[in-house]
Amino acid sequence: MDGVSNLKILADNSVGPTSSESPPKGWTVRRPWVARVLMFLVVFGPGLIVMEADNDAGAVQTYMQAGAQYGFHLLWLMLLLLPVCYFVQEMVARLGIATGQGHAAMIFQRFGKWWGVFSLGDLLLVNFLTLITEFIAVSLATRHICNNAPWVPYVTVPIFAVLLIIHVMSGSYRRWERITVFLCIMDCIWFVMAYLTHPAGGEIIRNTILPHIPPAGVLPSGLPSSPLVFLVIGIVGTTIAPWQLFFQQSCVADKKLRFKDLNMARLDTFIGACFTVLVAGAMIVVGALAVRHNLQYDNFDPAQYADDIRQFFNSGFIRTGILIMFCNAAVLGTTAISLSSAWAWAEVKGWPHSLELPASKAKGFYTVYALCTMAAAGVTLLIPEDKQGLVVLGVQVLAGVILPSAIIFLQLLLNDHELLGDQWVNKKWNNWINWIIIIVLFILSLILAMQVLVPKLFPQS
Amino acid sequence: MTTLDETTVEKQEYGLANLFHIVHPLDDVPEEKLCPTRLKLGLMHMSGSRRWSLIVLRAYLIVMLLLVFYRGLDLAGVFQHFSH
Repeated sequence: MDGVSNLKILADNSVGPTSSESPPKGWTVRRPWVARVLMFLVVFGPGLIVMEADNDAGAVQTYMQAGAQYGFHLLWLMLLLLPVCYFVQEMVARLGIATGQGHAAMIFQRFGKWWGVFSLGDLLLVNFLTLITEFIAVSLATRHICNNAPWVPYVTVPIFAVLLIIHVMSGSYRRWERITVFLCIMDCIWFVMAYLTHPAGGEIIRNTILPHIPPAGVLPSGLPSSPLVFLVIGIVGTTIAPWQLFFQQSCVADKKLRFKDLNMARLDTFIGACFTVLVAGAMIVVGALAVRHNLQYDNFDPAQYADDIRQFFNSGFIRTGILIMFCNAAVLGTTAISLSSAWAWAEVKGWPHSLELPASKAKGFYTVYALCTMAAAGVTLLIPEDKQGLVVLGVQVLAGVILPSAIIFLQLLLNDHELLGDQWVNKKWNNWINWIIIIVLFILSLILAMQVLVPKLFPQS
Repeated sequence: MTTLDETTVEKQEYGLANLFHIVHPLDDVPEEKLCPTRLKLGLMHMSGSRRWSLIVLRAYLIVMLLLVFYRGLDLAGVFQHFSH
């Protein structure tokens, strides 16, 4: 039964003798709609966080680059990705609620040690490289905020790393969740910035609803150019990241969501998916200013772009906004990605692994989190600027390896009647949609990996 | 999912007639989850479709590994050496 049916049952007049026992700590309300809102608010969190944390530093770069190169012409892709994001993450939430365990632990238990070690190892590696890209973004953004002073990253990157560790180690899941949700909601600033670029509303709506190939991305033969194809694949890969599968399932398990919370968890995931796609669209709109002012970039850098567009506005709000939101995206990405690594490792090792536990009771879990964060921050400061592109390439390739495998395991686990019974497994229509998503992701991941690893096969024009 | 009988009993125990009592998941009584360890399930039984899915996945991973190996040799200049 869903949350609304439970409410109707509770409102029935079949009262027995008053008991001397007190109910679990909670809220008692009279109005059904207030109860529904409260039920949603106590469940809300993992869905929004996993979706919005996906708009990390790499996503900011990818979406703004899409806007800078093709204007509003790729907005339709975000609308297409909305149901894909939702379907994948809904499966993750359902599996987390049903089993109360994380994705890594489930793979080990149901598919054996070989697949478990492979999934865990690849996740940890791709997460670590992604963390480096997040701290690179912090380094770039804070340096630009401070007028390109070269010493700034050596101060700001360690400070951010320490703050991120303190943020998680409070010993309260609720405190962590509230702060992280606040950071997610801060992404609304992208809507303000998009509005301030004075985009043509009609053009945005038309480009969002009608799929088409951008004129700038069409070859004389009429086919899409290689840079366009790979940007599209990059957008897809950015929007559905492998760590999200591990993060949300562990987060749902850590929050101890109940069977009856499933529908509210679905709503949380749906709201998160919509918000993420809207914010991504706003990032594209902000990037599209480059097309209107004929700014061209070989290697797009959001921080440099923020400086370049300062001249088109009376105030520095958009410039500062882009730089601060670039940092915010990196912070959100770092906390979520580091937690997905720490949860996965601790689940497999059988260590205590809850944000509700203080550091003294979950030493292994918090140590992994802190190590991931500090190591990534340290490597960022040591890595020469001209080698940073290799890190990004490594992330693309490894993500292309792990994403299809993580989704295949998710699909197989959600068809595991022996474990989940008929109530929790995928319905037939679920499976049809999911296998189509899996096949498309396989093909795209393979093409992207081939482009990175065998670039000679893909001429630029 | 909570059943009719469970919620009626819950309401009678706590005397919450015509009221709604909302409990945060972290404050609630833990549920018994569908856990492979608790249910004493071992590895998943490999049906035909599951076996094929994992075979396709293995093939995909082998192709990716070969591509990485090829790229490594290319960056090391092995193929340019042989073309000269």
